[in-house]
Amino acid sequence: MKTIIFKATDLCNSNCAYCHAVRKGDASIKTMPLDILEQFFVRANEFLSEEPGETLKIIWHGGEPLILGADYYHRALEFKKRHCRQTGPRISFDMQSNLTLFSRDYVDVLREMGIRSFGTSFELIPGLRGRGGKEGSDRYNRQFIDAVSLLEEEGFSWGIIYVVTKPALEAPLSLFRALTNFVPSASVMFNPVTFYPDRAEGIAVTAEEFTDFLGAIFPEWWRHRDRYPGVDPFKSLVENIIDGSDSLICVDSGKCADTHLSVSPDGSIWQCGRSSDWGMMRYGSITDCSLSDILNHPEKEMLRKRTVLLRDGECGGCRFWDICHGGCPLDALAETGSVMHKSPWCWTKKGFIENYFEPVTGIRHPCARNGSPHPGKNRDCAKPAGADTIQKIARERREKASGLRTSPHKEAL
Amino acid sequence: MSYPTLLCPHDPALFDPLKGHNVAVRVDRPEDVCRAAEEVDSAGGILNRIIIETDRPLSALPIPGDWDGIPVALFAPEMGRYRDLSDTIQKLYDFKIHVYFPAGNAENLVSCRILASLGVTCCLAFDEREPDWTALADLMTYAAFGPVPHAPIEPFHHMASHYSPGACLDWGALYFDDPREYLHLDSRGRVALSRHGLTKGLFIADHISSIRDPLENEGYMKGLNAWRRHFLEDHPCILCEGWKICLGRFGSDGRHRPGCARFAADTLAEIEQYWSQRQDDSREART
Amino acid sequence: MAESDPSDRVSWENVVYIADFLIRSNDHHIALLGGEPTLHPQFVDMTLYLLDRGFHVTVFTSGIMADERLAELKAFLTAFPPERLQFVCNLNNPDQTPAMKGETEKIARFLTALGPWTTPGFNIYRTDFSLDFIFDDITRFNLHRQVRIGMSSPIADEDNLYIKREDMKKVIDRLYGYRPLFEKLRVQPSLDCGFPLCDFTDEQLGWFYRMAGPISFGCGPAIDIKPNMDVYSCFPLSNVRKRSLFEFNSIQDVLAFYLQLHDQIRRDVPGAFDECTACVYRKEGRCAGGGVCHHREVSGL
Repeated sequence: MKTIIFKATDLCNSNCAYCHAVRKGDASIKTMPLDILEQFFVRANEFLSEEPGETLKIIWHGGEPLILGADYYHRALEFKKRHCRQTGPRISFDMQSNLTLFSRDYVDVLREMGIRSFGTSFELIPGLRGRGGKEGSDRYNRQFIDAVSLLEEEGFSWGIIYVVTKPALEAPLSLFRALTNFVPSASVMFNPVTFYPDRAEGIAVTAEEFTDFLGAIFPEWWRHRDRYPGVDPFKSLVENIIDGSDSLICVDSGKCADTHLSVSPDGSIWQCGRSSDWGMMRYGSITDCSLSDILNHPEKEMLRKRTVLLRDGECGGCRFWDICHGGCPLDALAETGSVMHKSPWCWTKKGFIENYFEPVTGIRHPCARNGSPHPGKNRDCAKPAGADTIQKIARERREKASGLRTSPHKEAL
Repeated sequence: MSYPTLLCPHDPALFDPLKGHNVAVRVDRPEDVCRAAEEVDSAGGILNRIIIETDRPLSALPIPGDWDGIPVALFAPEMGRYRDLSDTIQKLYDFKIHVYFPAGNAENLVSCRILASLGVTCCLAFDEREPDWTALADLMTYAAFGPVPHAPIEPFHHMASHYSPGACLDWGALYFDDPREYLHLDSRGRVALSRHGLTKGLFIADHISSIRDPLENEGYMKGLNAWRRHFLEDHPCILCEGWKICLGRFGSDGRHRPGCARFAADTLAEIEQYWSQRQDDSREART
Repeated sequence: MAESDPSDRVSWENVVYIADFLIRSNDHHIALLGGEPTLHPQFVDMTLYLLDRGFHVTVFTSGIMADERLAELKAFLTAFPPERLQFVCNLNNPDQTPAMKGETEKIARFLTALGPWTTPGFNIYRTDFSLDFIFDDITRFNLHRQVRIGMSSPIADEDNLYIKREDMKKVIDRLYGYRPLFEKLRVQPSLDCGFPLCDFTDEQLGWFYRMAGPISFGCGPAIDIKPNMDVYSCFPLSNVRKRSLFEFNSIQDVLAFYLQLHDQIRRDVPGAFDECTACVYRKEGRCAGGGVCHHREVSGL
């Protein structure tokens, strides 16, 4: 499957302090014209016809994708139907949106696109989202709340990506509780704020700070993991380390060269959404390149070589290689000027697992096996030892209550 | 979403425009129960509930035979002496009357246990009085995990039977306080989202006829999931471990109070345990 | 009672728990004892509750109660037939055990009001006991035509009056001496636990059987539950291996636990009396060899 971060617009109705969109290049086109939009579906069909076993997941992104208006999406669907008659079933859609512009107008077209849930963000710390300081963020949050209410009434679900900034480091557990209480599904992914190097703006966090932030939350999560089924990166780590799953997100997979692309409003094709925001790793344009051409681009080849180089070099012998693969090449590029180094965020994986995950769970990640299957031996370790029966809980309650009280009923005489 | 039930005071003039709607009626006197039910029926409404609020103990209320078939929710301050109620228990059971007691009176926690063990559904109503949280926790254990079948004690039975991980649990409808299920009308037919809204004059429409589809009413949409407003106000409840099964309802008018956080957290933990056990039992039954 | 410690009386929560416990155990009989159970402020309400839950209720009472309490019993409990609700009123010989001032009148008022629900009980603690008064009371107050007769037993680690081994035959013979009265008034003698088989003659055994059916010479746990939910095998063993009802899932589990206690007591010395060791009836299980409370090792547990 190929994931395409589809930035049909750079326009946004918010001004989040941690937004890292700083594109270099042709900033004059803020919203993808319809001809380019149509051309994209031509290219999509071309690619899927060449590769019968492939699928495309198109994630509407931005800017703020709902700024485009429902008609834009109707046109997108038209183009898809027109140009992807045979290949259309192999195209799926998702959306990452701040949801503040969601309205009933979007319901039908989004349903027709097969979109059932949204990735979004939410911020409790005032002044970090919305326009105009605290007042702006209060107004923004009210809009957000109204939008998710409507979303839920229309049968959609949603989860949040929480961007951890410096202010968030003060009270990680409170933040964790508040966020998981806010999102009914408790689907919360914690990501560190990442900036194009010039724009730390006093809210950047270091890898160590982010790791300790996660570490402050993890014991609570582990204790009640059934209550918070969708909290990442914890859920994914459990799946990888305990269940032996080899499903990894792009930054950890070491395969992003083969799995990810991004398209910006002017039709440029980039390595991924963040590379598009930072103006790095542009491969060409859909107006003159096919998707197959892009996947064979020399820079893509470099990314593939990176995986081998790191495995045998900088990351050689690291027992977390199989769930990290040197991290995001873009972070390496931003830090060192070359993708051929491991990510400077290495500690958020290695440090977190060694200092928090393994001590709290008592489960050790198996050593790197360079392709050997996961032994699966950790599965049984994760079961709670000797779960109490309901009888025992009830009995303890009654014993406690019986020793303390008698009936408070009024005296009959 | 189906149209909410319209909860109104006992005024036949209000019922006529409600033809075809589900209707609940609040009466002050038990003597008015049958008449209110007939009036709703005559007006073409579909009777959802007759709600009686009385200041007399349950044991002092007559339960006449012609209540049979009328769904009644009975709010009483207390049970009264068991000996005075003994003859009425059978009717409470047969007529499926739901009895509501204030949770702030510790005797009522005992009364719920007694009545539920006899097959009478009981509900604890949380108001401004602070409950005995320890006794409440004991009652919750009995309500959710009692090994001998008994009638529900709400809201605990609802919590235990509807809990799902990764979801919030709003049990407001048990107390007619959920806009998805109930809209409240005043004597002039003005529409509010809750009893609290009625008393505060927070109306979303001047008349129900103006609300064709509640989802299109701005005030209604803002009122749905009103618990989310706590997050805008930095309310202490948003940090509570037990939030997902409380949503501020164990507090008083959404106000946090000492003791409820521990109770809610412990309750959630027990309900999770119960849910987990049910999952294990189902898995075993399938294999 | 109003000044007594609330922990001395069972709470509503525990009454509901006990009722659930017994129902879960498929047991629908319950006996209310004390002290004096009718002194509990909620006695009438709790009894009504247990009756409403389908229990057959037996109340062991002295019959001594305030007029207000008696009025409550009459008003609320007499609607139930004797098959559902029964009183066992332990009566004392007025000459041998004189009552305190006013008590005799109170007992009389109780028996007048609730005679048809009441079985008289008599506890033998002296060998020269007299039963005549009971037959008078049965006739006068229209009591059940049955006398529940118990023999006072030693209570472990306490110094109480009880019938010693060597006096048991005297007691049985004296009891048999009331045969004409039992027969004339058609009153059944119902023997409680602790009477040893070997002290009965064949004629006595035949007569008791004819009047009241088989006598049980066994000794097993009766299971008493205290207000604080402590349980023990029976009152004479109330200080031995007490547990909490909360530790068990059913009454059968409780019985099994205390049967183990009985087995342990009898393991080395099978019967309470020396002659029990060689007794064929004990070996065949027809007699338990006296109450386990007589066993000399009880106090060592």
